[in-house]
Amino acid sequence: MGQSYCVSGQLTDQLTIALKPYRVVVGFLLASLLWNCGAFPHVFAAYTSLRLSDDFFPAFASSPYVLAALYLIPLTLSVFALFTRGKLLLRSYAIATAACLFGLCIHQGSYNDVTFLTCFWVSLWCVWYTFRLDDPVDALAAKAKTFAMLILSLIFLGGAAGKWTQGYWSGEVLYQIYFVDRDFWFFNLLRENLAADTLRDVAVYYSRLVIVSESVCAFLWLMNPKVGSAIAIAMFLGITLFSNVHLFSVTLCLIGLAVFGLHEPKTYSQSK
Amino acid sequence: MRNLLKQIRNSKDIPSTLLLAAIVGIALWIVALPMSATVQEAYLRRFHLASPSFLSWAIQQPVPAMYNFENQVTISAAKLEELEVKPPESTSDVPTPNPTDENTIADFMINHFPTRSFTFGHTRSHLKENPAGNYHLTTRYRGREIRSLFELTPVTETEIRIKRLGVSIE
Repeated sequence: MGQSYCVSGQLTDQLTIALKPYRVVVGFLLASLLWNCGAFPHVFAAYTSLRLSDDFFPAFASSPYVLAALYLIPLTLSVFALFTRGKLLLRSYAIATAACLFGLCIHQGSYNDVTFLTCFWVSLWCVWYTFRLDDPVDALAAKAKTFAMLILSLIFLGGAAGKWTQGYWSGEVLYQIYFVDRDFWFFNLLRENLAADTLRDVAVYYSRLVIVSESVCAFLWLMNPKVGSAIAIAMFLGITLFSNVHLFSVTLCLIGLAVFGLHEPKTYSQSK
Repeated sequence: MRNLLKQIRNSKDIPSTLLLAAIVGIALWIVALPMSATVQEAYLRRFHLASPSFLSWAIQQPVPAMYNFENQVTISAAKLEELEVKPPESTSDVPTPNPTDENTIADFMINHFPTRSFTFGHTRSHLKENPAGNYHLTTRYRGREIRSLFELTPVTETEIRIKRLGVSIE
């Protein structure tokens, strides 16, 4: 059972306190996976009706049925994790979820979808967390926040480093991908109101803003977790709302990690 | 961070050590990207499914790389012998694509993994309508460039064969 704590005048146990913020993270991970749910039947139908034979991917990594299993198992286990208190079960769910999400990162039908990469990193954090559930609440929360900040920083670093190149600094890549014809409120608004030359200039500033902000966010781990979390949440919402709402499948799980960084365990006072 | 390192050292906390090692290892790999030709080649090959083996490609997949590099896709509906761009003489000699060729049916930039233009769900629906074609993929990063040429051929109504005709890195 572990130590007892007094929270808002109520006596409660260590596991209950530790699981509350964990379930928030799992809930966001589930939301990320569910955000893709609408497209899944269409994608699955496309894969079953037209097979791509390719020497690169082994048979298991190109089967649409394996893909479906790798997607549906973490969805189911994440729901179970929201209602489970057994540590062994929680560890098993977290490990199986991470394994399936890694499988999606290397499957022919999903390797390019960053949703599964960000969910994989959040699931690794979940695996780690379930193995440290016996730690004192304050120590666990402090370590978990540090790891959350490190993972968020790593995601931003990976995004930034690949943009440290002329095509992004000149704005050309994002101009071609988003500004030319992307049907999204922000880009539609810009196209309707700006001349072609001005639109090009805006693309340059937009692209440079993305590069600089992602590069700065690669250092979130050096910041106070509360400040880092707030910046990360603002960044993820900004990226998603100003470029593509489909990206919520990528960002929601990361927002979950950032929300954990805002969590304040000092409100709990140890009674015995 | 200092506290985390201290706690790990004092308590021999294996899960924390493993997670920290994974994060630091991958961060160092990413930081080396702008400076190391070896890392650049590994990244570029990863984006074109051209790593030496599936295993060496799969190991790199947890490395975050969203919206990385300048990725160009040029799709031609013509058979290879009809193209002005001749088939590569060797698998390491892929010519630069010609987007103005009359047989070019699409030429566009893509956010990452240009091979997604024929493997991913949304684009695979289009393959049902245009199953045959050549996919000329180019990815650039800080002066480095990888070019790949893939030929897609329908085998049956429900199967398309992907053949890599060549990959070159400069």
